[in-house]
Amino acid sequence: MREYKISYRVVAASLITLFYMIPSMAESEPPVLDTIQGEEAMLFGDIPSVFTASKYEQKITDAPARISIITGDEIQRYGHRTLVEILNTIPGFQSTNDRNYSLIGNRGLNIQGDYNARILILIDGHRVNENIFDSAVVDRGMIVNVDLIDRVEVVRGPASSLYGSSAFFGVVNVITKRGRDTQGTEFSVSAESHNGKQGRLTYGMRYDNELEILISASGYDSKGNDQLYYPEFDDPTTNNGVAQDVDDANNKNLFAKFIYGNFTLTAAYDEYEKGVPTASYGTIFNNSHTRTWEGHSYIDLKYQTLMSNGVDVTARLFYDDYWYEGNWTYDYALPGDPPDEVIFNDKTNGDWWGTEAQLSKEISEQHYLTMGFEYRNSLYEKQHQFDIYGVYLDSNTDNYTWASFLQDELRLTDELIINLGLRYDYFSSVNKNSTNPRLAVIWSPYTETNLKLLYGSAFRAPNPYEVYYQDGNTQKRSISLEPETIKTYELILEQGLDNHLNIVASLYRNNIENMIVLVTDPADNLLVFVNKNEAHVIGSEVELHGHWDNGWKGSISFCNQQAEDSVGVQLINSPRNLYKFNLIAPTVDDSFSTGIELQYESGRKTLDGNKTDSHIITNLTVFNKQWLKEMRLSASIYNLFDKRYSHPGGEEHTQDQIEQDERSFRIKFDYTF
Amino acid sequence: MNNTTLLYIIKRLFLLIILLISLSTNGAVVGIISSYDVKPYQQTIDSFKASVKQAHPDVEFFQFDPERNKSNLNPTVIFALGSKAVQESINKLPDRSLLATMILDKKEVSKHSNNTTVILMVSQEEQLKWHRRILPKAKKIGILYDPQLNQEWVDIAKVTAAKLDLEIIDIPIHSARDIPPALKSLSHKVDSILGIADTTVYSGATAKAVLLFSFRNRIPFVGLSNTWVKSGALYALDWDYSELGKQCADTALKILDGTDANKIEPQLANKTIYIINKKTADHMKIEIDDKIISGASRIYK
Repeated sequence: MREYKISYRVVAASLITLFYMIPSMAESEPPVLDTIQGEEAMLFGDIPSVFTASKYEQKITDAPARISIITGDEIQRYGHRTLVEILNTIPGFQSTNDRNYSLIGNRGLNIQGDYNARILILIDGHRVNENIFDSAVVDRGMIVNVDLIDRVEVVRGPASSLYGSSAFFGVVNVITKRGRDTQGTEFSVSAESHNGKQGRLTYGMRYDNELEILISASGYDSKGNDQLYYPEFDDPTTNNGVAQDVDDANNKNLFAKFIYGNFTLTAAYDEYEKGVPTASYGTIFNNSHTRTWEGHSYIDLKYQTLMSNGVDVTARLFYDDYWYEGNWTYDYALPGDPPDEVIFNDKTNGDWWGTEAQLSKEISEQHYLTMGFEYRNSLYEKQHQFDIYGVYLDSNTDNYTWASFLQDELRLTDELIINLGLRYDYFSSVNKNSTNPRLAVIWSPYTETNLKLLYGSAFRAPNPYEVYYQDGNTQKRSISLEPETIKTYELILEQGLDNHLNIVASLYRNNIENMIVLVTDPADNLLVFVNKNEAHVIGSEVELHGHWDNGWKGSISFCNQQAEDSVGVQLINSPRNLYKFNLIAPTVDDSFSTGIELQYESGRKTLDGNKTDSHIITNLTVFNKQWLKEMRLSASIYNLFDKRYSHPGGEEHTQDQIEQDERSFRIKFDYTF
Repeated sequence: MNNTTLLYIIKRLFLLIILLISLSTNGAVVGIISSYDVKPYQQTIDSFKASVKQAHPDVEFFQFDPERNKSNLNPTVIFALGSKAVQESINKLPDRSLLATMILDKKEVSKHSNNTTVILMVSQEEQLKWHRRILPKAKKIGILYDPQLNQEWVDIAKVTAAKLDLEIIDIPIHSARDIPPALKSLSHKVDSILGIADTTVYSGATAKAVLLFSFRNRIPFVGLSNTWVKSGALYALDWDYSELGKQCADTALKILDGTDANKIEPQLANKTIYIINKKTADHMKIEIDDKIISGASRIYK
């Protein structure tokens, strides 16, 4: 397997040099009048510009965690189509695509078969990890169209002390736009490789009577890659290894948000269908009947107010419905017999409701207290597997969970803040509870310097899929699964270098115990979820981030992560090094911009003990917003240099490595009227 | 000899020097003290000098630097620009007529016995009328203020707003830490936020939070001056500093002609202009009338 040992260093050095050259290209105005004091400073003093400021800098520096924020503007200018593409630009994040789902990995941990159960995905604070697999779809099937994203806030590391279960490796909060962000009707169409097309119609308005609405409908359809070659199936009986016309995908989204006074009512609906070209779980290769469908809908009512006594109150009431169906095509015929093609049907359906309340108040200048309560009730968790020969699983469970938490921000001096958090969770499904603390010491010895020392823990209870699933064919029910836990120790340095550049360096260690993973039992060759031994990750991240007065902005990051099991063996699907470069370069009048991303990763170990090729993926987007008034046009090339690369296959795959998309294109047109 | 006696002797000597200098000059002398050497101050001074000179060609000016005692002239009137300069005048030249400007509050000169002022302040009525012209759809206006500094101003603004069919949503602020929750509470209640001269709320340290809130929530912020608009406020009323210089010159001439400064009523700077940030308007999807745009003294794009 080839490594880019020399080339990536050359590329990295070139990119850093480029980064430092940008200020000379930027037309920055030096600050004036910065010596003015007193009342006149209000009129004539230097005021930091909103156009050049990092829009969420304060949120990032004050937070007791390592946070990244990606704005809707950046999403547009980089041409991101999915949440997973957005997350792939962030230091320490990686993804795996098995041509059915995309899985997010963070800081060296990208566990196949978890369907993103260890990363909490929130839409405007509403948890979208569902109640059966704890999964969240982060690619084309995401419940919110990417165009509706105002920003994505990413919190790394365990955050169970505030968010509870699933906040194991991190939290991704997707903040959607409001009516005022559209202020009219927006129409969007895009066309892309593999006969992909997407359309969206959005109406948003903020009325004079305090009512604000956003309503959006979108649809996506793609034939997918019509010729996927898998050498593992290269046999005349299996179409010489070519999966033909079985990579199709389509989804439909509806999203509505109504804001009136202190109330916000959100409703979302999504359904997603995907062909499965990899013949996973031993299904018939190159069979278009093998496919999955799923849908998620929710309604969420939020109340937020600042009371006259200074208490900031947020309360939420929600109801969710999730369903999944998989058709898995098998040939039950014995060798030599005529084919006996049978569709094995796998269905789940879960409904849950819940409520949350959070109160925050500044007790004194030194104390900022937050406390909250959360209750979630899974009304039903149905799992049903059958084929024409019988029923293999017919399970319907229910459970509830409740939690309370407390967080105190103690400002000991102007330079020193201590953040203490504690959360208690109870899960009826396994009759277990968990108490998770968090401690953060934030020291700011200078205006532009923040040093953070963090400790936190999180836990994840086994979900109904891991506990109850069995199909009598490929997977058996697990026995006595225990909750998995993680503890993190992290040291972060945030240093502003000048008005334009800041650097963030982080050292961390994650210790995971009782990790729940899908393995093949050698005794019967069936898949089964088990608690594996300990694993740990030691890593470091350095990110240089810059933004300039003329709109140029970007970042370059280097991450090293050593994820190993208890005996020091590198974990599956974990690259040691991730290097990323992102740059948005607009023209002087900002009518046109170029967004470029370079993502390098070293090889990942596969289940068979091999290693995927290290690779650099380059994405390029050109964006125009003033060709015609209120029109935005973008053209993107993904994997610009047509790099062939693979991700490791999971236990359910015959393939040791699954090849990813070659170079592809998209043209997108948005118009507001 | 103790320090108090020494200080007394120095002060007397200082006044004696000034008196001797004044006897050596024939025309009136105007001493100018400026807090800062930046464009608005310089524009005001230049215009002031030109206007006074036009009426009284024999008037002499000198840039007075009390710290260094550079001057050899005895001023009839001190023209002080900015709080720092006013304080210097009060401390070092308490017995001279004082004309103060580039200050936001007439209380600044309350300790001086013989003074008049041209204050940089826009009346509530003028501010709200401009608001209605530039943002006709914005009826609910948020104001953050420190009650200890601006309760009276806000009370008058509320009455004035009601007459103009506008509504003021006021949030009292006691320290800078009150600002983020206060802004959050305004996000769905107001159509705009009006910045007022309040040092508790508005400073270089708090400006970023206010402007970012405005930008992210697409709620236009009415800034306090040109620098605020340049940094992201939608618009601001500002002053024509050449006109301010002329206005001050008219007042100075009255003093030079023998009017007691105390008898001249404090004035507001009377020539307001406005500056617009078109980039902010575009971001917030606010359409501003072309006539208003063309009338702006400066447009940031």
